[in-house]
Amino acid sequence: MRTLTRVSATVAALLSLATAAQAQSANINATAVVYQAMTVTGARALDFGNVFPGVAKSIAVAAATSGRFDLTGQASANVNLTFTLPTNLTSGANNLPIGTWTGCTNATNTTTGCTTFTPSGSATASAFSGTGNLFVWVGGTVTPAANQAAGTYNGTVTLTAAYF
Amino acid sequence: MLRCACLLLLALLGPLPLLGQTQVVGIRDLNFGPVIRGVPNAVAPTDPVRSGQFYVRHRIGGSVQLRFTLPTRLTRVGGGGNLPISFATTDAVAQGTAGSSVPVTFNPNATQTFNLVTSADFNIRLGGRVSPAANQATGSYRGTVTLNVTFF
Amino acid sequence: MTLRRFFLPVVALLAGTQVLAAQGVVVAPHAVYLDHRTRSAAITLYNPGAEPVEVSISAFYAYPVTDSLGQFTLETPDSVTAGMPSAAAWIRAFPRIMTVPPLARQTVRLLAQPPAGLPDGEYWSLVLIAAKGGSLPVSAGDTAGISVGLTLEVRTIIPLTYRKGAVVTGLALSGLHATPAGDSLAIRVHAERQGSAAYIGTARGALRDAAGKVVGSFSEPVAIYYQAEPTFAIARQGLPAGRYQLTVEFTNERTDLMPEQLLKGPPVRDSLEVTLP
Repeated sequence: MRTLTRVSATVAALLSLATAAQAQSANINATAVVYQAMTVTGARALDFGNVFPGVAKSIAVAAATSGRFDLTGQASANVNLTFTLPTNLTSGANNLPIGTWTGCTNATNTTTGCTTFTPSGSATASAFSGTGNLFVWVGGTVTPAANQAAGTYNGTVTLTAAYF
Repeated sequence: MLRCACLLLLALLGPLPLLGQTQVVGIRDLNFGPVIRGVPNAVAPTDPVRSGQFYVRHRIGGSVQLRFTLPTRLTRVGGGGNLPISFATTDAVAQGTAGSSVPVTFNPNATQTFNLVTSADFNIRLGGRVSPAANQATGSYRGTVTLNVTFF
Repeated sequence: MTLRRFFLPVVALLAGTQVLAAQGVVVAPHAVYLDHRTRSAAITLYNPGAEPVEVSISAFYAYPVTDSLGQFTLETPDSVTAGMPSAAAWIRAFPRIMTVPPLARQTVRLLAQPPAGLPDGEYWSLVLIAAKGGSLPVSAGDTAGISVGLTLEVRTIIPLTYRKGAVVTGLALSGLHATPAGDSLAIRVHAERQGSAAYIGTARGALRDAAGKVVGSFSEPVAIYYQAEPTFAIARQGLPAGRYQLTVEFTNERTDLMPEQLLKGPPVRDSLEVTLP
């Protein structure tokens, strides 16, 4: 009897040990480092559409088909804008002269009240807005010759934006 | 006779979870690394470097109930802002340490119970997603992920 | 549920991120700092567009100065001589050329391999990130006629600073003056760097009326590598004629840079009495 009691007590203890829920916890950290970024994107191509031989065509910065770059960066920070501009557009072996570049910058995405400048290989000093935005428009003039060959003429406008 | 009875019981019950055998350990932080303002950044639970990791040890045949306490925002070190953080339904993966164990994806936002069949211990890897605002203050952000485990 | 079950997690990274109809890359951070102990840093590139972007990384030596109008511009020496603190020749980018898929990010590691015996000090470079993406859409031309369209490419330049040993910075101000210019008050001050490192901080100015009330102000990030005479502007529209007190302060505070990257120095201030017509 005494032995049985002892055995029962041991069984009860073991069962208790086996079935009692235990709770534990542990922690890890979740970490992130947020950086200021600088974004320079070509947002809209400079599109002259169709042109006619012997008739020059200009696209103003305020036109719906002017070229547009969108920049974001540190609020109020200085930024230099430098352009690499073609003198000719090409269609195969044919050239089409382009020039008389015009430019404009603004803190918001509208050319109304924008600050005009002449895009060139020399730096133009500008600055991000108080909210870190800058919009840059580019226009120009193409001058097809009277005997300009038909075709699709392409070129590239490159904007280099320097933050320091 | 008493000794025989105890041995018989031990054999019937199998290996018991001695108090020192259950274990929950935080192994690796969930590290989002560099985050760009305005650009959401996600870490997959399968990411071998940036995912968070816990280690849980119990016994084969036992059960564990897992419940995370997840932050909804990380706090900027030094003050000055919060960074929203979220966890998707597939952001947690558990895998036993036995060679035959396969990963199990589960929802870290809900309580989960696992029966340990092939492994007595397993790792849990946790992914997540931070969503910095466009004007998010730059700097380091930190929060705490807690894994609460109940052993049965 | 048991650990036998198999389920491959599928996490759509960046799901929901807006795709931009533009080409270019996001670059972060916008200023890179390395030290002689770790000799490495990383920049993250992110392509927000719908087309892959080809990216190339290069380094060159230049530093900001101010022009005759007080605007910041880059001074690029014709050649880099031994006395110039240029890091450009020994900064390497890995990878140097890459394609970043749409809505994807790419980490570029910058490693410094300075020459043996490099003296203590601060060394500078600029990092140029050139991005060339898919062409932006132009109108379909008349196949029998002449159609013209130009696509846009972008290059981003960010500063890189390499520090070896103890470096200090400071600033000395002189020649503060203010001149009415249109609807603004143009403020210029000569700032000369002190110590052995560029002065990176913020310039703040305040214009106070006779009662001490702030009627105009400015706050701009500045980087004085050697010396500069920057121009700042405070709007003067609506300000009555009279005498005002102008104060200018430069501090090493910047909200866009990590505090540990900024060298600390005491604030420098100057002030001036201004008479508006």
